[in-house]
Amino acid sequence: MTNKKKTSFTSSSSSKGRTALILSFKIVFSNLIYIIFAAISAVIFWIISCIFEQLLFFYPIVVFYLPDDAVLGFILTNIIAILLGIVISMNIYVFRHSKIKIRSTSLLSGSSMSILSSLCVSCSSLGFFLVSTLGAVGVTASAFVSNYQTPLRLMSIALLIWAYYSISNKLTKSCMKDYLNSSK
Amino acid sequence: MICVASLAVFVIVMTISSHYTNAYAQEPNEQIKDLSLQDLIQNGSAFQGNVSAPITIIDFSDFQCYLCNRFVKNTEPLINQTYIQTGKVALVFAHLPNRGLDSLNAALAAQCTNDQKKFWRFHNLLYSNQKAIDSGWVSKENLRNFALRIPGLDIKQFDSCFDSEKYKSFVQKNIDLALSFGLKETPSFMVENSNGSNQEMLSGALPFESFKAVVEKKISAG
Repeated sequence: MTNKKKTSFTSSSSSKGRTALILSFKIVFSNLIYIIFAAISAVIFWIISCIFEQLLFFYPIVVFYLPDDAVLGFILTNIIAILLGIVISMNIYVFRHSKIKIRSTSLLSGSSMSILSSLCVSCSSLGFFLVSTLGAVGVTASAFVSNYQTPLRLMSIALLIWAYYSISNKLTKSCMKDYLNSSK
Repeated sequence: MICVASLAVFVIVMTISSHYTNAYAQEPNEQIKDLSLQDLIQNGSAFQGNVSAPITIIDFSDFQCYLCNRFVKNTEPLINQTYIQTGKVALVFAHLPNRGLDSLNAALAAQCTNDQKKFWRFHNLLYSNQKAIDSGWVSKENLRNFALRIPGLDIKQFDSCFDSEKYKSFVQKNIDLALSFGLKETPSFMVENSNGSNQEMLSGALPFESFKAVVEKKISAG
């Protein structure tokens, strides 16, 4: 790397957060394969969410249907799908570049929890499974998930943003550390 | 890796879609004897449409289910306008109260209003006032208040019916009927010829286009 680049790395420490987000995004998504990973992850999540939210049907005809009451949920689902795609792809990047030292706990607590909570947003349509298997407890659980769909989705978005921030920070720190070590 | 991911997408989509849809397009349980429109009406099910309509749609719903409300607000008016008003379809309501602990009370109250031919008014009133599941909006007291808002309803008769849980066994039969077809989700629908033949299950708050596809197919098949 040139001195110019070194200077840009050093000056980035002042506006660490924002720069880390942009830099890590550029590092990961400069490679086409990670764009594809992100797109596939986002599309899978989007399809599953739309099926569970009863916006996408395959029988008796294939139809996508967005009624008025589902618009807010659909917007939040799209945001989650995009964030999920980015976070998953960044995690794959980290796993494939194992030289980058990122504590596994941060991955688990950040991305994995976000993924789980994002998928759990779709649980409201699974109420009948809970009801039939857990009885009254299932009814309560199902009612809770149905009643708090929007807050759960917002929580998912917050967790995903936190996971993105967390992984970006550590990814760029590792890059800087590796770079500084190699430049000595 | 992309191929593996694509395969995973395909498998997931097919698994979920088959679970949610085709699984319900199965042959009905043999234990179910007769689901002709005449029998359903005689047994006390609320219906709208012409008794001689060639097609019957049985709607398994819960008054606390928000997806049932989505169907009532978005799809049912189009079915009504296109098929019920033209005498092609009769819509029968069946209770499947499984979304919350208060759902059974709502079903019992609604069935009591059917005694006085006020079911659909009560049905629409409940759906238009739907709140969070088990938040108390269909407590016994509130159900009585909803009944009081229906013009011409004899509240004493309603109270007698509701307090005695007159239709508890009727609602249970509706639940048993749904379960015998493997229906656990609300809303679910059975579209059939009015003599009870050629049954087809549909699951979920489907858009009008989906019903149109099934109904037109049945009409053209005669």
